[in-house]
Amino acid sequence: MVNLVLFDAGLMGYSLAVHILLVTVGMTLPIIMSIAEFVSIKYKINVYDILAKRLANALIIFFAVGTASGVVVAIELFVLWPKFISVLGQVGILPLYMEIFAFFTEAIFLGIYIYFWNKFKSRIKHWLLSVFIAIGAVMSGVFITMINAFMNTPNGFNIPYYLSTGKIIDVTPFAVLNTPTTWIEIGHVIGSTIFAGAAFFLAYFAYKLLKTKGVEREYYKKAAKIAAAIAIISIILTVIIGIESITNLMVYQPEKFAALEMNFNSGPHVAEVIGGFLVNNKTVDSINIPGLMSFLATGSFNGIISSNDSLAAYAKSTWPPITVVHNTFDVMVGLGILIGVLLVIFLIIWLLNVRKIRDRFESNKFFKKLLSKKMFSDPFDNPLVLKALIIIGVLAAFLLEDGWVTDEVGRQPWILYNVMTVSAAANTSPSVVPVGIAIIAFYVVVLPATILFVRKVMKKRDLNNELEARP
Amino acid sequence: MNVYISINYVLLAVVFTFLFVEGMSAISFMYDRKSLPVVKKYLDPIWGIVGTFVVFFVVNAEVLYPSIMPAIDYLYVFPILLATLLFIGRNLFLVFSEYIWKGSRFSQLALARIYSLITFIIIILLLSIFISIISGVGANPSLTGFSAAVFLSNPYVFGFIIGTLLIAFGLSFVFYKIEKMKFLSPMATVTGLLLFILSIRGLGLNTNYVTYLLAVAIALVSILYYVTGRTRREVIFIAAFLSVLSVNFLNYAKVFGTKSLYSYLNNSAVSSASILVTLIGGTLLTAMLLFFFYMYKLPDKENGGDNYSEENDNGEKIGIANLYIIPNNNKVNGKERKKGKDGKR
Repeated sequence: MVNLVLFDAGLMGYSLAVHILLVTVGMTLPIIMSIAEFVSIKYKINVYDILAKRLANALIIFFAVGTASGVVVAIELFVLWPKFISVLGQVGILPLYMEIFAFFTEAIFLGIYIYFWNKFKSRIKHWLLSVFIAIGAVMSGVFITMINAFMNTPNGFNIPYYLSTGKIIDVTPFAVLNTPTTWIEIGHVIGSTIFAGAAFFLAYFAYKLLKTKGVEREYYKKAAKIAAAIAIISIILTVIIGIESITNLMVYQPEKFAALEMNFNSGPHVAEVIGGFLVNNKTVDSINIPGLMSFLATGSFNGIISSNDSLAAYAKSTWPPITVVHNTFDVMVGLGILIGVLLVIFLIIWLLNVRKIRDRFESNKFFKKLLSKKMFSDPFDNPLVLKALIIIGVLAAFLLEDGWVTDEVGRQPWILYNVMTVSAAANTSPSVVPVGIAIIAFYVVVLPATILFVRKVMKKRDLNNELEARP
Repeated sequence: MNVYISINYVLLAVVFTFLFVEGMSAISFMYDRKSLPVVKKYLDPIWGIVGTFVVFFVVNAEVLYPSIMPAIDYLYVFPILLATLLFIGRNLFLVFSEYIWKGSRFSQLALARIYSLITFIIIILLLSIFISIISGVGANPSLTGFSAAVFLSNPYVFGFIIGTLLIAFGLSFVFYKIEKMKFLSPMATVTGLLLFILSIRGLGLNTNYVTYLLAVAIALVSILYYVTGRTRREVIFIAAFLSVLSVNFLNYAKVFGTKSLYSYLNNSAVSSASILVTLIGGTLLTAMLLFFFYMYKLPDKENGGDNYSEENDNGEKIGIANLYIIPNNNKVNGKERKKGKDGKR
């Protein structure tokens, strides 16, 4: 007999895991496209115009799949978690409602942008559409993250009364827009999503830079520069906001914080636990750095960690799977910082190759010698760097999924933190199983099919010819 | 009359109007291959918006009647999830048919027909859910289980669905100016209307003179097109919208046959807040849609307005997006240019 609660959770998790990959593309593609079109108008460089047009074609295909996938996730949310959705509807549904209008903004302006491209006499007005598309895509993410923040730190109703009677009173519907974790989560989620999307495209353009020559290579170089700039800015912001979000977690979700840190201690000089497993309530095979957690949390190695931030303060029945979330958390932090550092180094080398900056440095003999080394050559022409960018693209996808697993599994067993458990909210109708399996199977086919289709569509359009034909 | 329920009904009417027109598109792909460019010219820019309207209605219903959701989820989880799954297929095959390249194993028409098949099933599922929610057919009294046997053994359910599809078939001639066996248009429309009205009465739903007036108007649209060959698409949009609206308002607040939507209404705080969001969002949405239709009607600047005249369409062109933003690649670029002497690549 299938455990229906587990099945619902698995189905939702699987659908979201696929959907967030599509979201990264859907959110970042309009930004790259918009920048490309703007540069083409402002500096009258036609290559950017071709880039914008080709990206627009890819966007509409990804949009078709992304919207459908978004609908699947939204409907799953409704049908798999009826009790949760009932509470959400009576308290915190407004962000979801607002998201529809963001979604409309994206869909309508995308339709006009693509299908009526040649009807615009003013290119700048046409470009403005791309700005609205990007805003619509980002705002959809913002509103959905608000719902997630509500799940992590519910507010806007009398929770003690609900827990004792099951009735909802004292509702303040707009409170959901500003829970204690809302804005930190939005910064971290949107930043990481845009980073992951930019990293995918950067990886693709880097691959093309390795494979192409001549005018086509120049095209991909320009595209890669846009993607790289977005990736660098977003990873820096994501890391900074990520650090802030851990502090936020300590205050508002202490049990989750304790689980992510696999921490059983409180008081001064608490060690940071890196890696390891939980066996019989004891941490094994971990690296413990004395005083580091105290330092990270308070700025002093002897700083005091509150007893609330220790797993010892909570009943075992409310712990999430500690080993899983602790390790996914460590991987997220480690990998995020590593990629961030690598991209900052990449940025420095890139800047050192900007003619004006390079000239200034090369007036000094020492720097001239240093900059003549291969590692300081144009990073977009360095095969080693390009290969590294491809690896970063793959890691970015992993990082995004890993971060999402950390957030969602870290909240278990709650669907609504300290208010409603996942098992209480689940739809236990057996009808879910066959369609759920079909959805899983369908996704397995859909995503690769879409990527292959986009690749083929792009391949069928001879880029060289378009570039040579430009005025 | 409750303002929240009325807003929800208006939205439902918009959703079903778009779906009805999409049903006509799907029928046309199946019925007449020559309709392909004309239908795609309508469908390509708008499919994304139709999907969004469906989600809009679902979320609006959740905002207004959250406590009805557990019942709906338990009763209709299978058809809802199935329709959702098919929705991915609908988007996928539509966009694939738009971008499919020349010489592909799959023709544009074949992909469009797969889209049609999927769309038919989605529409049948949604009509079934709608009629069951409003009439209660198939739902047990405690609203915890759905009997497919009871639902499928009710002839009026079939009458309702087949009637609706027949009307869509009849009006598709009018909407897309299809000439192939045009006499079928009034026949299908009138038969469909009779079946539709008979069925909703059989299902215990209310009808009155408005129902008959609308039916006469819809029949006249079809007959006039058959006789004169003249029509306007807007008429069909308005007729479909008013028809759905009339069914809902004539059965005001009725749900699951005997229950009232009033008992499921959300608390006043969320309802009031939702009105504010609906007003602001709705105004923005209306402005965006007006802009969309303004651009739709505007002639193309590079082609002196010829691009949208139906006479210029032909099956060889591959999708509107391709026409507009990519130069004639398939004819002068890439692989075509690399053909060998024998024409093979």
